[in-house]
Amino acid sequence: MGESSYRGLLLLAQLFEQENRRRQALATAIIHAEPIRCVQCGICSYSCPMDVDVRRLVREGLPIAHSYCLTCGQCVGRCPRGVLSLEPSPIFE
Amino acid sequence: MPFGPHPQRYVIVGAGIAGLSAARSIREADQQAELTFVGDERHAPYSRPGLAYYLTDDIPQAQLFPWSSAELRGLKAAFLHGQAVGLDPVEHSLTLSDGRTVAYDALLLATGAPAILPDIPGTQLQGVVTFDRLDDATHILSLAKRARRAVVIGGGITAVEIAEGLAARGVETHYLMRKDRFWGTVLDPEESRLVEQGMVRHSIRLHYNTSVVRVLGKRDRVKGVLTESGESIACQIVGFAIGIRPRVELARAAGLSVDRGILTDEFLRTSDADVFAAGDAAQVFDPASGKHTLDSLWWMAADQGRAAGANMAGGASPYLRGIPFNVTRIGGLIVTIVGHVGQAGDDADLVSIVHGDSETWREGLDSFAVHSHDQTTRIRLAVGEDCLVGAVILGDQTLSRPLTELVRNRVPLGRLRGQLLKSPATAVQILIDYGQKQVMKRMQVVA
Repeated sequence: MGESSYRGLLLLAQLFEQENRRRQALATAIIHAEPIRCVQCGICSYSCPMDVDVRRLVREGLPIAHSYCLTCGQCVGRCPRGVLSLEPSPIFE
Repeated sequence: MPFGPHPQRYVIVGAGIAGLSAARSIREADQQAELTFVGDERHAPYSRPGLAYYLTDDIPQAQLFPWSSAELRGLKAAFLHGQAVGLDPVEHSLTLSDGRTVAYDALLLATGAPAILPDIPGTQLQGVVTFDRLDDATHILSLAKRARRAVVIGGGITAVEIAEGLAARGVETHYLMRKDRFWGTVLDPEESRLVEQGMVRHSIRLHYNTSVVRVLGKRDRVKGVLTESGESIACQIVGFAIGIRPRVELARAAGLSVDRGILTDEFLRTSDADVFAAGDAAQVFDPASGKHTLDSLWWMAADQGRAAGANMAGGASPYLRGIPFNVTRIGGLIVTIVGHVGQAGDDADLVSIVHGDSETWREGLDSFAVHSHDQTTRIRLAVGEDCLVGAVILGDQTLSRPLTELVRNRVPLGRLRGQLLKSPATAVQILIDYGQKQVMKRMQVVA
């Protein structure tokens, strides 16, 4: 095997490793909210692929533990006020 | 404090977050009394800060309404569309522009603070816009469909929101600053530079040291602006965000005490015992500082509304102001500003605070600045005599939570202060570890 194809494989393996880590992080995480930062703009609910009304849960101070939540991170990534974060779930500790 | 029997008729002028929060408090305390909103907007209550993301097309208009109709019905309130033009505190009556009168036992003025226009010729022309309400946002969007170029003048968060919205809608947008950097009274030069770079990445063209002396028009439409140096910039939209002014006319005409805003005590009560004020219109007494302060922050307006509503319904809960902070997205960066972070000097672009802003941020208490900068985040800490008095966090917000806690809870730094000042590069991490320990300790105490 040539050196260049070996490097290609290594890169591919690294990518898979990254992706695996990302998936593991998502699968074992919960969405945590800090309501005082929230201005109820609704970007979170709008970007949720499962139509979870994240905004309402934050407003009412409820945990974002909807059974449909995939912890895909869309709401976390799009919140313009840093309200939401992915935190490790206590049940996996 | 003397509180009389429960009122039977509550009236709230203004259906923004302060008014709505007050209504919820009143209903929690009193299920039976009449509750009436008076407002001149024809929309259901919406997220005012969310308008920025409607402008940039992050969300559609329908997403701006957080409260379902069932939740609003649960308030059992009447919504009267109209403009309140007269208040008679002796007769306990409010007069609307169409001549109707509304009687009250307890009244809340949550009338907000609209944008002001500069005193230059041409600001009455069609195409001159400000950005306070949902109708302003829809107006800007309808103008943006036909406009080729826009000029934005002013400072703070609102100016950037207008500029980013217009740029996102494909309008060639020029942002004019009177001095050499953005928001110089709150941000330090490096922070200004990072936000400016972000604006440039969003296709906004920046002009420094540029003042506008006139808006140029053809018939009654905007056709450009004339700068102090004699240059004219052709455009179809001119956006102004030079400051806001609390709506105090009603209170002033009724003889209530008014300064820059409607003056209230820490119970949100005005100089008339049955009239309260909250939100952007109110200049609220803060027992901690002994001053009446203006803020234009969503969560503060909500807190003030909640306290005002409870007190209107016979309670006696003081409003504890806390240290003002806001998180916002400007130049594509998430920025947290908390506490006393002010920079010396005047802000030539602003004549007062704008939306999402606080007077406190301009105050630089006696403190040292400590900076930390990596690829994704820039942090500035204002280190006071015994605690952190302020912080600005740009970019990644992971650290903004513990830092905001440290500032807001005035966590004493003790000997850490010396370490901080000696080695600022690692100091931020030391502080965060320390802050987390403190928070954990407090949580254990609470538990």
